[in-house]
Amino acid sequence: MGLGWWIYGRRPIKHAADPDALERLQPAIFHALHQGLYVDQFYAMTIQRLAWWAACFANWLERWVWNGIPLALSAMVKGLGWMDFSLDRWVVNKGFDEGCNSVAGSGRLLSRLQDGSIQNYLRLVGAALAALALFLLLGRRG
Amino acid sequence: MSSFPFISALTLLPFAGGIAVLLLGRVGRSAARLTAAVFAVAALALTILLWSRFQPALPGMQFQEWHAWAPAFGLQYHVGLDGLSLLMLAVSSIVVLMSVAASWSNDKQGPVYFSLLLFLETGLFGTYTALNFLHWFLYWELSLIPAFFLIRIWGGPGRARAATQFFVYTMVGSITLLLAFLAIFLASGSFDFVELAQLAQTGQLASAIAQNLHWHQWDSGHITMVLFGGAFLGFAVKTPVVPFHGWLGSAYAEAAPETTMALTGALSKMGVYGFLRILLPIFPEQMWRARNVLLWLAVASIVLPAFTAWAQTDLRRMFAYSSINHLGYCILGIVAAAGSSGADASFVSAKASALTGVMLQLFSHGITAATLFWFLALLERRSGGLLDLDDFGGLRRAMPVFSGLMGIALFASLGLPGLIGFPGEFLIFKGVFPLSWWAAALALLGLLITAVFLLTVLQRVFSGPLRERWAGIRDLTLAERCMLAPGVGLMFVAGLYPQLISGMLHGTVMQFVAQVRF
Repeated sequence: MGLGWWIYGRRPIKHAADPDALERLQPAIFHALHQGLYVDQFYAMTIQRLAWWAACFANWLERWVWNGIPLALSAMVKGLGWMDFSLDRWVVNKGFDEGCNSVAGSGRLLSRLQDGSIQNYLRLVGAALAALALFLLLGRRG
Repeated sequence: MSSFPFISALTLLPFAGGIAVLLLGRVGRSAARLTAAVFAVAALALTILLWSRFQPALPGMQFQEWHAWAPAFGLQYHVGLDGLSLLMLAVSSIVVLMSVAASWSNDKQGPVYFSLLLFLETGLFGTYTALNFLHWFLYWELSLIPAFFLIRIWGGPGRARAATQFFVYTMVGSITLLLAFLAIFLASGSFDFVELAQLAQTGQLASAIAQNLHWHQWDSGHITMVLFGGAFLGFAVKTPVVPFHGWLGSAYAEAAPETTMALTGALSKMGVYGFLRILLPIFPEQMWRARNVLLWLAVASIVLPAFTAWAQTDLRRMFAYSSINHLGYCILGIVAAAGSSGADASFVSAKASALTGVMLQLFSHGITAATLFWFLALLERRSGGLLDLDDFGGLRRAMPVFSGLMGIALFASLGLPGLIGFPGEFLIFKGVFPLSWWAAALALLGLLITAVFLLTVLQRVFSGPLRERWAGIRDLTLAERCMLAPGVGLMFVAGLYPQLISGMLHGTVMQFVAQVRF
């Protein structure tokens, strides 16, 4: 109370617009008191800001981790599905189809040779014997 | 045994209503919605009748019905009620009636919508009363189908993905749950919850598992833990518990708010109900062994969604995450009660307090969450689909009654004393502190952040200068006030006189406490 009287009581201000006595004497202390010792600012800069960052972090976790993991799993399953489909279509089916076509082609060729005509078979046997004889004769000379 | 099959009648009533609504749908929407309302009111009346005849002092199940169904598969028609089931029936019948009332003037929602709501109610009633696993599982899955279509057909632009996500998540949980119970049936030969709980209490279930299940030379403790994990996953997804909650944000935000009322008010309670009805009595030892992990999950389910809700600007998403936070308190109460091994009087009292709080919280969250989404439905219709925090401001001037009533619901949701949210949260914390002080202390952070974001809603939507575009926005009509009044009134009644509800729970809570005395 004594301090209050010393600051304000000795020389009271005459007009409302006059500067505060403490402001004249100790502007820094007056400003700090005027700002409520910066408690609100300190609260906003620390607890409030920290809590808001925590909220943003929780939201980030929600979007990218808690939702991201199932999405990644879903993408992985879709990827596996696509891979399986591609394997089926381009490897299994393609290989199987090509294999079948080759077998069918060989079959066609063999069916032309094995047409059931005895004359053709004898011609083929004759040609083969001639080729064998030629091979043996040429071999003996060499 | 009661002579009249009250429970069967109650379960089939909404189903019959759903069929009637579909048949009357040809006459017109008005006839369909009136029929739906009549059946929903009748279901509520029958629930009140059961409430009045229920004897809370008696231990065990009441109004039991027991018939052989397919004994070779362990399937019996066994239904019954204790205080928990009765409370869940009450929440479901109130919330479905509220949802029907909220859809009354939404022309997009026709006869099929109302019939699906009633089918959902049948699924809920069946889940909360069936005492045989297979019978119970039938209703558990049945409730999934109408919920899927309610989201898929009447939702927002992202409804297809949200509905699929909801379905897939829930199905994964259901499969693990089913597999766990098939293994238990193989070991014990029983699907009956009451019988399985008795076997678990006497240690016979563990012996049966040791004798009959031989997996990779594992001991019975490991096998039972795996079975517990399967069952836990099913309920953790449904509740949901972080990190199994991925479906909830988009499902609640994309579904029509009238649908979300039923999803959050009634359907999400199925998970917590499973924790209480199945996990706690059948797996008490496993819950005790896993208590630290479960406590951390419970704390995460309280704190992280509260922070996430604060960061949202979409009101639907904000309330969706708030819903996870509120049900997180239930999980905390259950896990803390199951995770402490003391059996002296103070421990018993703390466990009873926590479990009573959990049940009160289930009731209060059902009513407040459904009411809040009802307000969102009304606001969405008036604002032409806008539900972002930044879209509003100063609505208190244009809609004083709406703002006042929604303010009450918001304060109830943040647990203001005198309103419905307070007794449950208070009892949970009162019980959890002596059992696990660190979990209670961490969970308080969630309570604080919940208050911050709910007050942010009040400030940014209702206070400040009124935006010019909302100058002509209509306040609640007389009909809307009359429809909302019972729900808001219940918030005061249950807040000021919680004995009205907790009085029905005493016998049930003491039975649960006896079961968790591991």
